[in-house]
Amino acid sequence: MPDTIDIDLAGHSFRLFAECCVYWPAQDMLLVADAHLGKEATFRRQGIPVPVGSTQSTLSSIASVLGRTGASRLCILGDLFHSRSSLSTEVRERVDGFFDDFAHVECSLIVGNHDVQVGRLPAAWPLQVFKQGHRIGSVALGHHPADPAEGAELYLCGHLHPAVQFRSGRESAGVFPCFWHSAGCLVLPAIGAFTGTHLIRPRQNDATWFIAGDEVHRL
Amino acid sequence: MTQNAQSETPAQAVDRYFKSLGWKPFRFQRSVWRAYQQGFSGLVHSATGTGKTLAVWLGPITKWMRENRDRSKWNPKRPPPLKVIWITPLRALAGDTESSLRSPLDALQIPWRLESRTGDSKASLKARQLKRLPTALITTPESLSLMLTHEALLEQLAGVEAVIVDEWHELLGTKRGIQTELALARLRRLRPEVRIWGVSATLGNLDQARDSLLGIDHDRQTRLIQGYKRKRLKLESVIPDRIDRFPWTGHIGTKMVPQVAELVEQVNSVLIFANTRSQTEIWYQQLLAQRPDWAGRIALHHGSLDRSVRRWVESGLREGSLRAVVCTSSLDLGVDFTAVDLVVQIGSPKGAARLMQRAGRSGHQPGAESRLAFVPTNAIELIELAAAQDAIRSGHLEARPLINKPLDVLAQHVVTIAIGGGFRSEELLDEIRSSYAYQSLSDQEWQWVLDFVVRGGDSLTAYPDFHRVEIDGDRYHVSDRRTITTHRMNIGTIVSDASMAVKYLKGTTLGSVEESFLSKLEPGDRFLFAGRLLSLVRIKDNAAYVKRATGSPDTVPRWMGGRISLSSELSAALRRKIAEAAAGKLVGREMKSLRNLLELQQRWSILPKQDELLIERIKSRGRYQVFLFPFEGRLVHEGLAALFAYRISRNQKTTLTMACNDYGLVLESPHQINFVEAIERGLFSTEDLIGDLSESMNATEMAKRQFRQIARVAGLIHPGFPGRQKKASHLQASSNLFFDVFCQYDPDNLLLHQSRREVLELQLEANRMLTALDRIGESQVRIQEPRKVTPLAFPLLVDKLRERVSSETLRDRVARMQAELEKAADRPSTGVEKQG
Repeated sequence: MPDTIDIDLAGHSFRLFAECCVYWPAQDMLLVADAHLGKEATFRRQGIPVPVGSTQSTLSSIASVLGRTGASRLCILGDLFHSRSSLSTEVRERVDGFFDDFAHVECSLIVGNHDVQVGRLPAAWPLQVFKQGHRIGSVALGHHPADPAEGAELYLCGHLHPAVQFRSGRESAGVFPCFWHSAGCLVLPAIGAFTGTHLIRPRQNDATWFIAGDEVHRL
Repeated sequence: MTQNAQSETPAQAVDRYFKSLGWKPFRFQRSVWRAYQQGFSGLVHSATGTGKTLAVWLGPITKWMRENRDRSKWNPKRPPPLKVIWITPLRALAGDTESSLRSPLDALQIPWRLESRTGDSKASLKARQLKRLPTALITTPESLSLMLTHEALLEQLAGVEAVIVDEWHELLGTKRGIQTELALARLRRLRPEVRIWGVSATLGNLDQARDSLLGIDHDRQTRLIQGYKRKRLKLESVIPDRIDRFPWTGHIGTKMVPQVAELVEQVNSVLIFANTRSQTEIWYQQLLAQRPDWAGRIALHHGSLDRSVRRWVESGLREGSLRAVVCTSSLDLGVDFTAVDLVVQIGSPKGAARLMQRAGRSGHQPGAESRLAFVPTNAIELIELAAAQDAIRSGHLEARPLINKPLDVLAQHVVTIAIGGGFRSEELLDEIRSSYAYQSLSDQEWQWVLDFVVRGGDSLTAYPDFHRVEIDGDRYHVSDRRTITTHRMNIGTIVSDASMAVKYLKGTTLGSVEESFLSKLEPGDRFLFAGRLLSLVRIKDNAAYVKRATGSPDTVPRWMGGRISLSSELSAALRRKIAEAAAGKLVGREMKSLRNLLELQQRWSILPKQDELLIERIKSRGRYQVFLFPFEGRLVHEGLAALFAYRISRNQKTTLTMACNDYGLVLESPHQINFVEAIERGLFSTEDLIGDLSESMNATEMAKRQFRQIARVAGLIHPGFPGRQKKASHLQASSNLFFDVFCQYDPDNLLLHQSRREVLELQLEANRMLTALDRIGESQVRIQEPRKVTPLAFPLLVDKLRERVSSETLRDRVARMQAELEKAADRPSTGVEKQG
């Protein structure tokens, strides 16, 4: 029952978690993408009754992997919050609690398309904000998938919410979120508990790892 | 004549109007007028449309004439205020309804204003109506609900004298029908003396149909009136020249094209009903190929065609410029305009009431005979027609199953009322319980619905910041503009699958096809649609652009939901027919023509008697096949097949695959199954049926799909605003995602329970399965081991094969199998002979 898989990309080692996270041992950094925290609060604000719970569930899965890896750094590859109205009192309190629990962890956010709409975050949150293309050595971090820029060997990002669908005959046997490595770019699955998926069709030479329940498998 | 008109009584005026049409009033029409005059409400039913419209429409008119004897005061410039609301199930019918209601008004010079108000009406007209409604208003269930959101209209609505619901059988048993019941309950509250009249086809459960329409009110005086019934019905089958002893579905159908063309030739106008839209496309093409000179004189009509195309066909029928129209149930409905000489039914009618209704489309004139020609698509369907004739003769017509208190429709209605002036809980509860569908609504369920619309759910903490309905003291109401606008835009219960417009490059729209079909096509693929061969150019902006193509089609669009199951009444009649045949009694042309087939079945196996269940076991190519023949309809068989497979594989490790049709089911496995033992271990048991069914049918996946509709009706998902391609991107979430989120964080949400219940009741027909299993359990099981596939088993075998091979290979394979079996059948002793 592999709940993690170790992979090697462009000479860097990573560990993929079934919780939709990537751990980067060399940097002691945990990477996640597309949390869309507070999305259900936005829905309620717009008159659609979606129960609370998914924001806490997303934060809990990040917390659990942070605990297991003991990572000292956390980087969110964009779309931390869903929209401006996602920052409801209830959501803020939960995020406050998260940052309190992990005060020792250095947190950073790469700005994604949703973050732009969210605007300024509470100053009390210890969050360093970077633009797309932020470099850590030869690895670039971003939100939208892109080719590795000049000099970068690898590009880590999110945005797509990638997933693969298996079929048996005409029937779909299920849709599974996946990590997708294509042309030097590793796309992370969305970690948010209330997010949809986007079906991808891996091309030749791509590598894909899909998540079925609490297991990760190479396709 | 004016002098004359001045002095005549309303009854004389009506007689004169009928005389001008060349008729005189039927007795049932007079009964309706009298009952109306006396203040009754009621339901008028008959198999065909003869005179029902005038029966209910002239009630309020004659009453008004009686009350307004002085004609000098009749002033068309000052029409009376709202008197009649006329509800039509299809907004496309509103125009036709309007003209057929207008004709007596004109003839009798009644100064009423008659107008429609539907989703198609102009905004300026609707705005004017908000100030003053016409004397008689034609509307749809959706538009009526919408009117209830306008507080300003309530005073006018409270003056209504009568609500008339047309084609009630079309609404009954659907969520639109429930929506209508709730709106009627509201109108009864606004105007307790309101008369409610309905017009319906004859059904097996007319009392329920009446109670659903009129509500639960024991003081209310109601009538159930049978309409014109002496109309003669002539049902005949087009019997193929040669009956295959090994029939298969969809096969002999188009072989019969020449015979059907001959029938069409003999009369002036024909409606050809097929069961699916793809069948209509195929038949239209085949008829044209048979008679190229009919181009422009025959047409195609189904629900996916563009409305302008459909209207053109309808007017062609009315004017007599069309000789034949190939259609689906899309033409089952309609005002008396489609009076044709002959109706042709292709393939199983699936129900006796349905067959009768369709036959009634011909010979509309009083006294004229209805003629229906039945074209079987496989030989065994001839038994169905024989059975349907028996059912019609003995009056065993289908009951329309009703939906019991769906909470999604109720939630929508409660918001509607909260917007339209607000309510107090006990008052609205009383009103809602006066409707048939919600008579057993419990206090807890009611409280849940209130909590749902007020704060999202019954938990106090799960839905912070959510507001839809507000509470002021003991009054529930809505003041938020955005909530009001969103609700009005999404009122209704019709949820269609995502579909895409099909357009020519120049922009002409041909109709729409389900997205799931189009997404499987590649540019250049040719397909039949709207009676033309088209090839896909590209898909862009939610439209499929096509051009005319030549050659042969790669595919015909298949629409979902095209597969109707044989009704339980017709299934029972079918079992009786088979039992009769078992006793050597072949009554009627249909049964006699099947003599060879039935005899062969009896020679190689048996024909089951009424209290017998036939099971045939055959081994071929190393695979074991078990055929069971409960004769309960496809849907029940699908459920039974999954159930049996699940129960067998629990005791025996094997893989089972299956196929079903309306007569039986086949289970195939690589291992021999010990059926006797399986039966002893409770294969047919009704114990834990629901649990086993849910396990075996992947009920969760089905519930997810059902939840899509429920979520939409209850206002959880907004399909968006008209004219806007995409809804606001930050509010996108699929219904699957909603379902998962609710299951995880609010598992007691009653809408989740409803979706599971609807899967069991509506999709799996669990009640029918229960009855079927009870019957099977009491039957004597007759296990046969024929050496070869029998005539009853053959169509199932073909369906089984169909899953694996392409249609071309299938045709060849089936032809080869048929030839072999025919050869064997001609050798008298093959039943016991060992194959050499």
